[in-house]
Amino acid sequence: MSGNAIEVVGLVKHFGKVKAVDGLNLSVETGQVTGFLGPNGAGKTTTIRVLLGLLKANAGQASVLGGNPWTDAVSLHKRLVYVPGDVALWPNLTGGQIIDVLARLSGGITKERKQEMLERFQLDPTKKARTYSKGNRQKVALVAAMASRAELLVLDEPTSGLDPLMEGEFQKCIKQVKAEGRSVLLSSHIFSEVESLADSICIIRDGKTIEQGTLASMRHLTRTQVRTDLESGAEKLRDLAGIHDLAVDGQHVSFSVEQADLPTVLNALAELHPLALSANPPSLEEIFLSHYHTDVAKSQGVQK
Amino acid sequence: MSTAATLEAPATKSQRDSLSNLGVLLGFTWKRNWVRSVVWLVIVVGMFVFIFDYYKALFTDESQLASFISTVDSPSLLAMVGIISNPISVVGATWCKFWMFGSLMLGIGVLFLMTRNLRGDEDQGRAELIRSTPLGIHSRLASSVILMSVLSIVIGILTGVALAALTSDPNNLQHLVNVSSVAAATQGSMVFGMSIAAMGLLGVGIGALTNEISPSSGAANGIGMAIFGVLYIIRMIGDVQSNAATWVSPIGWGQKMDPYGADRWWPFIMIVILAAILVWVAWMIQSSRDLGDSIAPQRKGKAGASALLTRVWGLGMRLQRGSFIAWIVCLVIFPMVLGSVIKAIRDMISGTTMAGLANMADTLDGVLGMIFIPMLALVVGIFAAQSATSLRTDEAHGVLESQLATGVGRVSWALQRLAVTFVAIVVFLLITGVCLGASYGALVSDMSRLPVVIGSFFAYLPACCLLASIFVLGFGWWPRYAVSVTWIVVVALWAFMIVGLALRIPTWLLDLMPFNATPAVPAVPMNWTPIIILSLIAAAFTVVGLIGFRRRNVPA
Repeated sequence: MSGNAIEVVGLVKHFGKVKAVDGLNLSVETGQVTGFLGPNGAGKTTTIRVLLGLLKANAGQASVLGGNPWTDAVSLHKRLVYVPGDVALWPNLTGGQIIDVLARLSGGITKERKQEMLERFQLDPTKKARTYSKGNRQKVALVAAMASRAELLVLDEPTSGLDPLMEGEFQKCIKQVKAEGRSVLLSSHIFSEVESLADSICIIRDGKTIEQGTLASMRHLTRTQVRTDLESGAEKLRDLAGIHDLAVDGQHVSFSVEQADLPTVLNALAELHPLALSANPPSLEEIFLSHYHTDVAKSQGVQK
Repeated sequence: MSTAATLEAPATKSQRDSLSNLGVLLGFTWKRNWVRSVVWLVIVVGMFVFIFDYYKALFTDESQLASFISTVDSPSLLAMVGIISNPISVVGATWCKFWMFGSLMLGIGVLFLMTRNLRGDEDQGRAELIRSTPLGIHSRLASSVILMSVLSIVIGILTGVALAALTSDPNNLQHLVNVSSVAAATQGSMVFGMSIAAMGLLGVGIGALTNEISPSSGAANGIGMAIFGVLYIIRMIGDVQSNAATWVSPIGWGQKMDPYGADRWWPFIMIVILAAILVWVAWMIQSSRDLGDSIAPQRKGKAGASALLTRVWGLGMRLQRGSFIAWIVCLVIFPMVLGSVIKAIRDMISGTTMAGLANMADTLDGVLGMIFIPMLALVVGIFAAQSATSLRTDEAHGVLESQLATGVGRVSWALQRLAVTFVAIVVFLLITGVCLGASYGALVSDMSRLPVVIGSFFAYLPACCLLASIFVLGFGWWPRYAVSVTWIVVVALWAFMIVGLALRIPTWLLDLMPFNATPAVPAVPMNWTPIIILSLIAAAFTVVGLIGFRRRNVPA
């Protein structure tokens, strides 16, 4: 298999008759961050549990750090760390104790690293886990994971419940992880987080991969949103090839345009002497939503 | 008026709202509990009817009854089952066989159901969700108290009505109930039934209180069980020595309702008043405490884990620390009490010549081997099952995933956790053996029997391990049912030991049960065959269970 940290091809996992994952492809290149996106119930957590050897796949291939996640679970787990999205803790132990337990089972962390992460994430390690808020429970798992030097970080919505300051700290940590050449699988619903961290993005729906690639390559396939203010001549744009969804409201004009048609359209626009102009490449959110909506439309079309 | 003043307004001001939406919650609580409630009802009422019917068929005349009663009217059985009401009759035999077991089962069952609805919901954060609706502060407590009280009383009435119907044969009154009129039989039957209901109401009171004072549902059940245990021991001391100690324990009040004899109602009233006081105290605590909080203050803990805690087995020990302490306390107190009762039995044997005693308890070794040692060993067996189920607790609470996502293998994880259980079983058998042997030895001034008593306990090591291994088997292959099946097996074994033949289970099948199959040393000579077979079965169950655990999904 390739040298990718994670490589999944045609993964299938069903629970009884329910197909949670149905032909999913996913790869995480070594030293890179892959964003893992999909609506709730799309099969992200199931895929991650398969990658951790907690669930046994029904079909397809999966390799983690070059090994089989099911048969080589123990040796692989020494090289990776996992942060669940809904962190469950032992209510009677303190946060500090739990971090040590998880870290020790994984292969150990140094006191300095633990202390550094506790300070960065501002977690009080002396409180019993039952007294922690959701964000603080999340921090316990994050501190244990971030303090380690594991080759691969498997993160399932790791920042759910974190405040914006901690979210920023988390992004700094991941950038450091990347700088150290380690790999990250990041499942998240926070588009800004994925946009700023991920080298590659995998979008899934109903257990299938819809698209995987870099953000730039995805943008190629999606239209750029242009907003401009024109004193006159807005109607001339209507006949121009490559312009879609034109909306004129007095001076304010907005439309979308295919990446390929952008030079021609901008030339034509320049001749109209725009007062103001902004052109935004599609955000990840828009890409995600466009996939979501086309899929809904497709499935409704099939039903008819 | 400032906002602060409004917040500090006395609780009495909102008192009329403290039960708002109680009706809605009652319906909801019933919906969540009706299956369990009906199961308890069928088991308790059914067992009394079943045992009565069995003894009616078994004992056809008074001489047989008298012989049965003389067998069981020994201090050792008095210690276990309590004072026998109206001895020479079929209902007397029924009371002797099942009143203590059945009514305490109801009391503890009610306690568990209360905890499930009260502290359990707080632990899981569900209470927060329903309290965010316009629900009065006391509505949750009140709905559980009402439902469980009604359940207890309905079980009592149904048992009473069933016994009244079964004893209404005017031609056979003497034999069935040993009273002179059908009216007296009916009245006695109702007293009998309500004495069972009283133990349920005791569970309501104890449950209400322990749920308010405990930091977790496990502690609420544990403290409640400990209270029942203490009350059981107090009445045991009173019953065996025929003194006032029986009257100190509310369980004794239930016994002293004395159906078909004195037919006392006022001990029932006393229990109702006691339960009401306990509920009132719980109510007061609830008025002032925070949701999810207990009266025990939250303390800061250590910022890091010791070297011990970071091992799987070390973590397993730490997670069960509270439970270990509670079990050790029980396993010191119970054998001490039983050991001291042996003296009374010895005195009785030397002083009288009771026909029945010749059956089994004619020697001290007989009492030890036939009754005390298996009973205490089964208590260790219950611990074994409970300790093993902690594996599933980790999985159900979502913390197994985090551990298996680290460098620990599944089999290694399970074996390390089970090793903790195994070592604890060995230590607990030793503690129990030393306590029973020492208290008995001290009383008869002969310590030479101590090693024999300790050795006899270790004969039950395979049986105890078998109970744990039944769970492991289920954990590997049917994880969702493993815990309930394990407890059903444990309760069934307990019932077989106490009720035994009355369930009409063939002797050969009873002899196959792990605790019956183990040779009753020192009453009988040692026989290694069953020991080896039980060990092999326990080992096989464990191996097969672990194979299943390796292959299955986590969490399942």
